[in-house]
This record gives sequence, structure tokens and C-alpha cells, in this order.
Amino acid sequence: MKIKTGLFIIFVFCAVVSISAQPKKYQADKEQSFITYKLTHPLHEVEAISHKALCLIYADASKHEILNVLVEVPVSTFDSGNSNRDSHAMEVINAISIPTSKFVSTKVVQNGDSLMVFGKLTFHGVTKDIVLDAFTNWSGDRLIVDGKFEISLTAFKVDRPSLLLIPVNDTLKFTIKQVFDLKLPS
Amino acid sequence: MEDYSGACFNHLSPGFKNKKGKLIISSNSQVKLILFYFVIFLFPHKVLAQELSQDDDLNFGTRLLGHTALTKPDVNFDSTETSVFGNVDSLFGEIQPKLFPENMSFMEKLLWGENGLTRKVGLVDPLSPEEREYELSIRRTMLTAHQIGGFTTLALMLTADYFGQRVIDGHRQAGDTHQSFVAATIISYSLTAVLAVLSPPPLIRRDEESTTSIHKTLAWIHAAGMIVTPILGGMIGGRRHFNISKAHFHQIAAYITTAVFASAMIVVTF
Repeated sequence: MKIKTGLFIIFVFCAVVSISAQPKKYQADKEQSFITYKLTHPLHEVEAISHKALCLIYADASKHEILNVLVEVPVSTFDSGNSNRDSHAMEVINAISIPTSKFVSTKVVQNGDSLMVFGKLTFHGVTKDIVLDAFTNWSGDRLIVDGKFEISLTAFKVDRPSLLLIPVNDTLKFTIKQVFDLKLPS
Repeated sequence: MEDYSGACFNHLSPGFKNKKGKLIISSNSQVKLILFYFVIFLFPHKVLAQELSQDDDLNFGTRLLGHTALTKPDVNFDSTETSVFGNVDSLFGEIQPKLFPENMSFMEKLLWGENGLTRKVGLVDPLSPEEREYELSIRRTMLTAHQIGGFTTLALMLTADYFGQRVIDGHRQAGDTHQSFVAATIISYSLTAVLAVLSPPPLIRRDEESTTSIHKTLAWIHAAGMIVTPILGGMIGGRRHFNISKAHFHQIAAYITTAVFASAMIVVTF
């Protein structure tokens, strides 16, 4: 009887460990997280930030592994501190008919704290493969992911906005910081 | 003393016995335990498999291996299809586009509002997302023309200033050329201003201090200068009754207006 009880406890323990070690979905805390883009014009640089992105990851916290990533952001939530400029940006990316931009990972390659997230970015209604370089910081029940990637505006069929008749540079640089509470799988 | 060292499931076919040959776990129990073990350990993966393989059962083995083995998982699925995140068409559902900014000017409401004059006279179609996108393209065209008009006006203004200075310096014959450029400046300035004032409203307008708000504040100042300066110019008198002290007032007003106008253009570049 003792053996059976002992085995049962071991099995239950193994089961609990097995279940708790499973990858889970986590949603980033919007207030602490952000996405920025930087646009360069010969006369100045524009940086806009959005705190409204929804970022989901599928991660195994016990192994400190991120398996999948999904990020979507309403494009009109980017604020550069100049609404006229933001409105102009929304015009060129047809924000009324294409209100969000989305990234879905297809492959995550992890090397220690470094991540290379391969995936498909849908921006301005055009989907392209991109690679997001990121760093992870697992500390207790908190995960912070810092990443960056660049896109070509013309590759996404965006007419480059211009200021004083001079168009902005073709490269749009994004940075992303997402903070996850690992105690709260979504 | 009981010995559990043989408690490997490969040795259990006749039942699990201790050294004395006493059966401690029957083969029936072993089967149950093995089944229990597999159910417990594989169940979560089965759930995972269901999530991962809703669109592609063939890849399940690879994915399961990726998740259970120590090797790097190589999850690969079509992002447009159902994934571990469920249907990812949009996390935000259907977003209702906001067609107008919250704070529209009187002129914008009058001309481009939902029941604005441009709609009533049939210049544009009734309000819809597609129509608003078209109106934003009109806005962009008008504001691009506004920028070109700004450059043109500044060039004309500077030329008018140059010939005005010549007149004050004693070259009274430059007066006609000065007046021609003043007329051209006023026409160009008015057209440039009209392009901005009559343009459809933007998509976003927040209450904020920005280079655009400074640009607009400066516009009020140079607009006042564009009214005052010609009035002062008219008070100078002709070649025969040239009043140099009044000409200096006109000169100062013109230079201030030009400086403010140029500043309004420069400020948008910051």
C-alpha cells in the first residue's frame, strides 16, 4: 500500500512538473511595453511610439525559451509628438482601410539571451519575410524582450512621405520592448 | 527489505516481485501504471499537438519532437492560418476606422464635415471610409501645393524686399518693379494660404505643442504683416511725394513679415 501511494505521489509529481513545464501563451503588459519607429529625413529624424500593441508569445518559461511570437498594432496609435505628421503617415499607409500591422513568427532561433525571430510582417497590406533581432531578459516572473528590425518602405509599397518636397529615407527602423508577467499566462 | 531497483518497466512482464518472490505489483497493475504514466506525460503534448496541428497534422511529429527534445524547436507554420495563437486574422477584431479628428476647425466642419458644403453641392460623395481616403489624397495634393506656394511666395517676397530697399536707397525708378513683385507676392501668398485653409481635415489631430502648431501661430503673425505692410506702403506716397519716415515703417513691417514667413517654413523642418 505504501509503495502504491509512493508511486502515485511520484507520478502525480511528475505529471504536475510535466504540465507546469509546458509552453504557455503570455500577453505583454501594454503599459510597460512599446513599439517605436524611426523615420529619417535629410532635415531631421522622426520617432514615434505606440503603447497599444498586442504582443503574444508562446514560451516555455522553465527553459527560458520563446517558441512563437505574434504582435499586432493599430497603426494610428503611433505618436510622434506631431499629429499633423502622424496624420500624414497614416495617409501614406492607408490607415483607414488597413488599420493594423501584424508580425507572426515562423521560426525562433535562440542562442542564450539572443533571439532571431523569423516571421512574416504584414504592413500596408503587404506581407514580407523579416528577421527581428532581440534580447531576452528572464528575471523571476518577468520577461523583457528588446528587439529591432528594419523595413524598406518601397518594398511594402508605401509612397515615401516628403517634407518640403524632399522624401524621407526608404528605411523605417523599428524597436520593440515587450514586458511579460510570467505568472499570468493568457 | 524490499528492493525496488528493478522497477524498470522493461522487467515487469510477470509482475513486479521483491527478493522473496512476493508479488508486490501485479502485471495488471503494471499495465495500469504504464498507461497512467503515458496518459499523464503525453496528455499535455496531445493538447499542444491539437493546438499546433489544427491545420497540419503531418507536422505534429516534428513539432512534438521540437517541444519535448532538448534540441532547438523548429516550429514552422503558415502565419496566415490558424496557429498556437488561434485565428490571427486580427487580435483587435474588426476596427471601426475613425474618419475625422476630434477637434475640427470651423472651416473644416463647414466644408468637409459629414454634412459639409462639399458633399451638399456634390463635389465629393457622402462620407464613407473610401471617400475619406480620397479626401485625404486631396488634402495631400493641396498641402504639397501649399509647400510649393510657400517657396514661391518667399522668393517673390524677398525680391519685393530687395527692390523696396533699392527704392529707399534712392533708386526711385525701382518702385515699379517693387510694386509688381508686391502684387505677385500678395497673389501667391493668398493662393498658398487658401490651399491650407480649405484643405480637408487630417485623420489625426491632438491638442499638443508641435512644430505644426508653431507654424500655424506664425501664420497668424505673417498674415497680419501681409495686411499691414501694403497699407503702410500705400501711405508712403509716389515718387514726387516720397515720405522716407513712412517708408521706414513700411520697410520694417516688410522685413518682419518676411522673417516670420521664413521662420514658419523653417520650423516645420524640426
